[in-house]
Amino acid sequence: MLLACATAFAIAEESARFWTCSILSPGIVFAIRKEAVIQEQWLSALVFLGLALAVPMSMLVGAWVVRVRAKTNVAAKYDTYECGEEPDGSAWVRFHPRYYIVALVFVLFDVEAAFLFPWALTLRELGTLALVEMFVFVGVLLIGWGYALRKGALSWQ
Amino acid sequence: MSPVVHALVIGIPLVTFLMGGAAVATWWERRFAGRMQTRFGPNRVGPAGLLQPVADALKMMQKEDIVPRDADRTLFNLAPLFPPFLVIASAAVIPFAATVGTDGAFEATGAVAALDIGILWVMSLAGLMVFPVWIAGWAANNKYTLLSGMRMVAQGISYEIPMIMTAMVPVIFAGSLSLSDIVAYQDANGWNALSLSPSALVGAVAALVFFLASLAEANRIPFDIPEAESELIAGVMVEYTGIKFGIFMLAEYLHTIVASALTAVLFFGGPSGPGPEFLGIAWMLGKTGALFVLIYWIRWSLYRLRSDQLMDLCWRVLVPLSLFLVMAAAVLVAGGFA
Repeated sequence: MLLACATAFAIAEESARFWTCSILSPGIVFAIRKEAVIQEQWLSALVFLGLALAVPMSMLVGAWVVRVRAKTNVAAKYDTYECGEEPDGSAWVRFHPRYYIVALVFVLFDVEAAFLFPWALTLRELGTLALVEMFVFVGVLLIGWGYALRKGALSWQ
Repeated sequence: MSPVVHALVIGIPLVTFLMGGAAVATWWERRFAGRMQTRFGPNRVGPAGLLQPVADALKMMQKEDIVPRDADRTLFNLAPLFPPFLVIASAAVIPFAATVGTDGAFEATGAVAALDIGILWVMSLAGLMVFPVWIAGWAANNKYTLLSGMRMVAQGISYEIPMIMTAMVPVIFAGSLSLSDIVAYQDANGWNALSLSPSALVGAVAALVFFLASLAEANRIPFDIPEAESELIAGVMVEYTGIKFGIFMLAEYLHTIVASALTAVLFFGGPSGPGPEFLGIAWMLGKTGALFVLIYWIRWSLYRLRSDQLMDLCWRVLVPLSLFLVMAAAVLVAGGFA
């Protein structure tokens, strides 16, 4: 989910860069060309998103055209399925999701992944220093993981 | 070629291939399972039952559409739109062909959109998968779908961590988020999961963890707790009829194909392999197909894990293991071994 936000941000950033680049520095032809290539890829991706959405849409529309419609109805047909019994109350009740703390730990690790990606890209240039720093970072995180484990936060109750 | 034309020229065959592949997969899986269990599987509709997917599709199209009285109508009808959409969209960045330039440089091409953040694109869309399933589970106002949706969210977010972490291993080796660069790196230095270099040791374990996490994300046995037909009837799909049910099933098959293709690209060199460049597509299809068969082989061989075992495996084993793999890969790169 966080990564989805990060990607949305990256898309926004790409287009912002493209437009500033084309407006502010029309002289730098190469830079614009490079940005334009990136822009083209994103446009392709956007068109493909439309194509991907067209698949389930067309299936739903196709089914709407050809499917049968009941001429007579019985009320029981629209009952909620509960193994053939009369449904016992609504399913929209207070419900213990059992993974509240797991979700918190997930957010921690997801944020960490967001930090790891730029680090992974530049590791070759930055060398040992970046490696040591990430060892410290991951080490701290692992201590937290161990604490959560000891506290039983990660076991399904 | 304008980007719009490019997207259509490559995108339409890709979508056709994915849909056709999913349709054939429904027939093939049942035949395959039949062989494994000493029975025939579908063999009545058409030669060797090959027209079975067509019959199934027609049947589901013309079924009556029933929305339960107590369901949230809008969300209930909206949810089936998204699983196939997200899965197909994530295939946009996967390169499935190889070209060799005049200077002899290998390049993985054929992606609908060769985004320079390809892996982020895939992981983001995969991360969104929990929403439509949870919406479907909640909107039906049925206890089974609610439980299934809950399990799906728990499993989806948990297994996302090892999946992202192990996807980081090829990124570290190649120094790029682009799937084409990752394939080009493997063409030059050997496959990430299968080569003579020391990095393959890390790569092979990472490939295994990534594969397991993909199984969990695609709800395949041994990780199909959300569906678990012996306890939850059909998971979030209980209240869906006709084509809406079919769309959810279709999305599962599509998800399995895309997950196989992604594993092939990240760890097994994707379209890279010996032989001339036009064999690139064959290599990609072969590797994807092999992983796809493996997924169904596992599916029809193993039991399903219990909910708590599933979460324990992820949080006690796979998460620390994937962190360890990331650091091991980093040590190899910083030390000049990869």
